[in-house]
Amino acid sequence: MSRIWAVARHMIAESIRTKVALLFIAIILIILLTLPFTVTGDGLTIKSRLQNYLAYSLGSVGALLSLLTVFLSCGTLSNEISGKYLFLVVSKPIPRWQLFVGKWVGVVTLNGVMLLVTFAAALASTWYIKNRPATVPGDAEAVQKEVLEVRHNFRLHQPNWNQLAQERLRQLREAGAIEKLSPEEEKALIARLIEEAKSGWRTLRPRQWHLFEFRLSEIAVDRRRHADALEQDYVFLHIKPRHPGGTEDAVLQAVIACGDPREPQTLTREVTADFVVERFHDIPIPTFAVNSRNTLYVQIFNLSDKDSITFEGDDCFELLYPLGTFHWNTLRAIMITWSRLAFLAALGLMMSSFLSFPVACMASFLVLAAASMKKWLADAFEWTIPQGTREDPMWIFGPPMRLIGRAFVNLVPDFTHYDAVSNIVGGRYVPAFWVLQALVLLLLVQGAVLIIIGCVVLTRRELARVTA
Amino acid sequence: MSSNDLSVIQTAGLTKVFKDFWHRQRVVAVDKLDLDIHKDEVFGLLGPNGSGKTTTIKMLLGLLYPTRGRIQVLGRAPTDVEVKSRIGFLPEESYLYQFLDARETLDYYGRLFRIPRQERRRRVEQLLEMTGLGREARRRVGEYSKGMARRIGLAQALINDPDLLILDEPTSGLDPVGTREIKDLIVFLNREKRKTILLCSHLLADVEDVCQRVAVLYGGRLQALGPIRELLSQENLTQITTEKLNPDSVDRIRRIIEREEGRQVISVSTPSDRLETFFLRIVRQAQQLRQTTSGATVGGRIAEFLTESPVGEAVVESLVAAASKPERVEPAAQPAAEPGESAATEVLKELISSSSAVAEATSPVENEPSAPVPQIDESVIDSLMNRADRKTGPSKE
Repeated sequence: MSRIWAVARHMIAESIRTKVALLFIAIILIILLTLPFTVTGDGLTIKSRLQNYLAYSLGSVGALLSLLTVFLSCGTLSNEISGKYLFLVVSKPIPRWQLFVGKWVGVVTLNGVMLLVTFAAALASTWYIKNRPATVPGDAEAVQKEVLEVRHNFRLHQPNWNQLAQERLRQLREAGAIEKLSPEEEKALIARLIEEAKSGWRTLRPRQWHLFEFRLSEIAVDRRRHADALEQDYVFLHIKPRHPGGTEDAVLQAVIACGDPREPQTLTREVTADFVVERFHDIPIPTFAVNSRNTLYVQIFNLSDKDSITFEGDDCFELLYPLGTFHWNTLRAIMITWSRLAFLAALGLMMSSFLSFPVACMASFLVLAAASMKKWLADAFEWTIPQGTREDPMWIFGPPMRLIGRAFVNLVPDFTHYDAVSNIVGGRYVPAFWVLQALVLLLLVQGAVLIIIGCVVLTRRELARVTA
Repeated sequence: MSSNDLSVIQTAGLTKVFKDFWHRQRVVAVDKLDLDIHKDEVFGLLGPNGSGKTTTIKMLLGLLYPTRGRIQVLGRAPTDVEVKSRIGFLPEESYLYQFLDARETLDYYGRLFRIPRQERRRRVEQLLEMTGLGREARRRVGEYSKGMARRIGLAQALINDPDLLILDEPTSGLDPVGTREIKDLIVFLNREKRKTILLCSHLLADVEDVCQRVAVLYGGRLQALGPIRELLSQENLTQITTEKLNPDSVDRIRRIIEREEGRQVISVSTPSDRLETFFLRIVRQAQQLRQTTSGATVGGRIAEFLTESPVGEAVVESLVAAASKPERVEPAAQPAAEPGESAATEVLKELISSSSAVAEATSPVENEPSAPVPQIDESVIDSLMNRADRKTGPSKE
């Protein structure tokens, strides 16, 4: 361990004295120190200023540290091998795997220190921005409730779309609306019916009741969440209504009632409320409305005679409850970012154990880019699949390229899955499970595999062999 | 005691072939090399550039793997970590981290040997003093001249008090003072501390001064191997050394030899001072006048931890005292520095302890490294004329 730590210390000294890290650290410090005074948000509210600050500072630090990690991890081994500095080191009694691990520990320690500095700066700056005089009524409360008071959320329970589509198909058949269909036609019709059901699912038609369902114990790993939620007196229905016609600043009226009619003690009073479209509204709902199966039913009646109300997007209709504090939430987000950087460090070092610095950098950046837009890439490969009789846009290269591309995309981790900055900005809870998942998957599984590969390559490599 | 007990380095059929990307054989760097380097000896590995010396050393250190053949270093494979804890290595270039200073450099390598902090600090300070870099210890190694970097390179090779010291061109880039000090150190470590030393150089004078056995490589193959005394002795020549003779006496002696022995006198000459001796004298005079320098000073006494012995303090003192007497290695240098002695005495001492240009070829090489060669030392000229760091600024001596 002492040798690993000796190499790690050396790695940190190298990164700072060769001015690679110093440059990045200087930029990060400038951002952290100037942003609280320069960021404006929407120019009116403290809330938007604070949210912008958090988004820009945490986002830019994460991006800069990703670049720094790639440069450092790709540079250290490859440059020491090409500069022959490693000859002296490996002639000392240090196993090469310890050398590799020591380098990795050095990079992740540097990242850890920088993220802790970022964390401290974020807390200080948040305190500073929060205490600026508010000019808009309700702004200070919004800062507290929507940013600093961390809230967990439950998303709507999604119906079984296929079952709904089959039911609708059956109804259409019984009504004689459709004739005999070929299997392909039936499949296409079901797909269309599913799309229609989804689009109508979050739409309240005029003068109609609509039932929404939240299952608080739906996901096994979230068993503790509903208990946390039920410890509160109230949970909040967090909604952002929208007018299908796109009218802004219109006010829509609706009646809200909660509870399960089969369990009368859960029923609440009906409440009439005005909703400004395109704004978030938090409606308190007493937790006794949750039934014995830990399900909360919310019924909404659209009072308008002609306008529909829609709730587009998962975060426009969800259940929130306060959980945790801003600083612990931010710390968890920082830990997720650190896990991502630790993976990148392992990747860069592994690449540099057999590639030169520029090639290792390019390969690492390729993986970083793919990991940052994994979902988009996966979709992109799907879109290139020719439909029906249409010719493959990639000609004969299409199938093998898609095969390789999919394999590559499947191998890289999904960094968007570990992006907790948006949760911090929106005052959303960053679950400890995410941190655990990031540590296990990015560090103990994928990171460890890269470290093992790097150690094996470095151990087997003839370091003094001229490869150029 | 078996031969394995005596062997520190053993190679059998050692071959290294460098191949290109397509695995076509490109260069045979080392070809069927059989070496057996014994405990407690200074072994010289000689050969022109590209003869396979450095490749052999790299295989001994596990930096390259043999294509064929077998290597054992201290009875184990060269990649064995335990073996490496007993080896000190000075590569042909110093390969030191430019961003560290001398103290940090030694401390870092000391940490890799897991030397406890207190002991590490003690060794670092002693090595800095020994290499004459104590005053420059806070300067980044990247700012050092080649000679200074060489000194710190040597210090890192000694940080673990190794049993086996592998030195690849140790005097390359060093001034004559540094060269002399390194040769003295090699002799001390071998004679007093029983260290085994593998010296790889193409500065033949250095090797001749300190090595007991040598191997000569050419084209990756072993061309000659044996004790220097045996390899260099010329049994068909005889050397006579006397005090200064007048020309008549020389003629008479010449005639006697021709008449009595029926043989020709090949050459009669007056030996001159060695350039190395001359240079060292000038430097010492400058130091006595306390002239400032931003380069390395003359090294101090040998680091104490290298002189320590379990036998006791008295032995330590005697070893240090013995090592600090340069005349044991270079007797010609010391009289030159003593102004009280006459020129005649100096010449006499030169004559007694050395040989003339011709006689050099006939004199048996002393196994003891204290026998200097009185002709102008080629290595010193090399150092004076070709050193890259002479061209640069004030940091050089």
